[in-house]
Amino acid sequence: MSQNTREYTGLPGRGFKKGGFFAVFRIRARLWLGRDHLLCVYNKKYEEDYKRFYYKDIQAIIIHKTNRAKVWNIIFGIFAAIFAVRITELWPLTGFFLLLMLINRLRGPTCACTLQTAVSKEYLPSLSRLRNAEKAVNRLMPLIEKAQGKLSK
Amino acid sequence: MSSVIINCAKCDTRLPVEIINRPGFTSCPGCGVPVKVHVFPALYRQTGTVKTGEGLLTDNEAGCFFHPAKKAVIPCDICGRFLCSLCDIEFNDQHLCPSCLEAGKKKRKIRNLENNRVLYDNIALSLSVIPLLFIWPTIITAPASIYFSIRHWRSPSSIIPRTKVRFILAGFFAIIQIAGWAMFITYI
Repeated sequence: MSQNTREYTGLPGRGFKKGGFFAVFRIRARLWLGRDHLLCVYNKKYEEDYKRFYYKDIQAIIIHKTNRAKVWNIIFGIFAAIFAVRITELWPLTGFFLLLMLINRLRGPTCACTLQTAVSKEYLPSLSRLRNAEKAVNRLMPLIEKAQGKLSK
Repeated sequence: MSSVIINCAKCDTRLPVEIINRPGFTSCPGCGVPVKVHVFPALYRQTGTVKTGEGLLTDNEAGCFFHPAKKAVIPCDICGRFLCSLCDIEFNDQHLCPSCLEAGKKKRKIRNLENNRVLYDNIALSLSVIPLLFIWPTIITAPASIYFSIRHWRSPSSIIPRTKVRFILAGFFAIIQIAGWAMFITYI
């Protein structure tokens, strides 16, 4: 019950949760490690929503690879090609889209991460890059194993 | 492990036991997407039986505050009322009665029950910055921003670590705008 605000440490990865169709602001999501639970923070600009997953209740973490990074690279590539070939006066835009492609490439492959408990399955929007998801799971697993014990083979 | 039920997050196909807790990715038999599953002992835990509370056997035994016919097993860690196993709520390593839990949630005394907070610092900053685009509304929004910054300086902000820098920036921008308006009015 103390008001100590340093009890959470951030996990890598930030993402956006799908809001309503008319949502003005996108909902930013981030994960934080607490003493006995994982805190999922949804930032709606003027307020925050919290979801807590206690380490003792987490049953499984499921990661599957997605093609989102490849799709975006194709879209950026098409725009870069259009500005390079058809509208040569706007050549800086070609560079801009190539830069976006490079950033997307450097951020690595994409994935979707789902956390399962006995009563819910929660999609974790902040773990949308495989590198971040692996790092987060590696930091999360010892805490879950500490709360639940190790699984025998 | 044969009774484990883990479904693919994409196609909802039941995943075979062989691909669970493997170091690398394995293709889902349903959709073929590479999938990696980390499973923990909570998946195999049996769901607990419902506690009903034991009835009083003799007159010497203490009864529950909420159910006098049931045997008290533990006192509430906050109010000290005797509780039967039905009323005993274990939360944050404490044993609480339902009324203390409810009061704790309403008065925001139990942090782990809070699932929403208003970010007053973001409101104050938006009040001092966004109306700048239209200039005229700042005559109202700049004092409002200062009011928000002072009124909610000590209000609970985000649960996660957060500084007061937004309040400071909001106050700074609002003071500049008020000074600008003062100069404009004296010039007229």
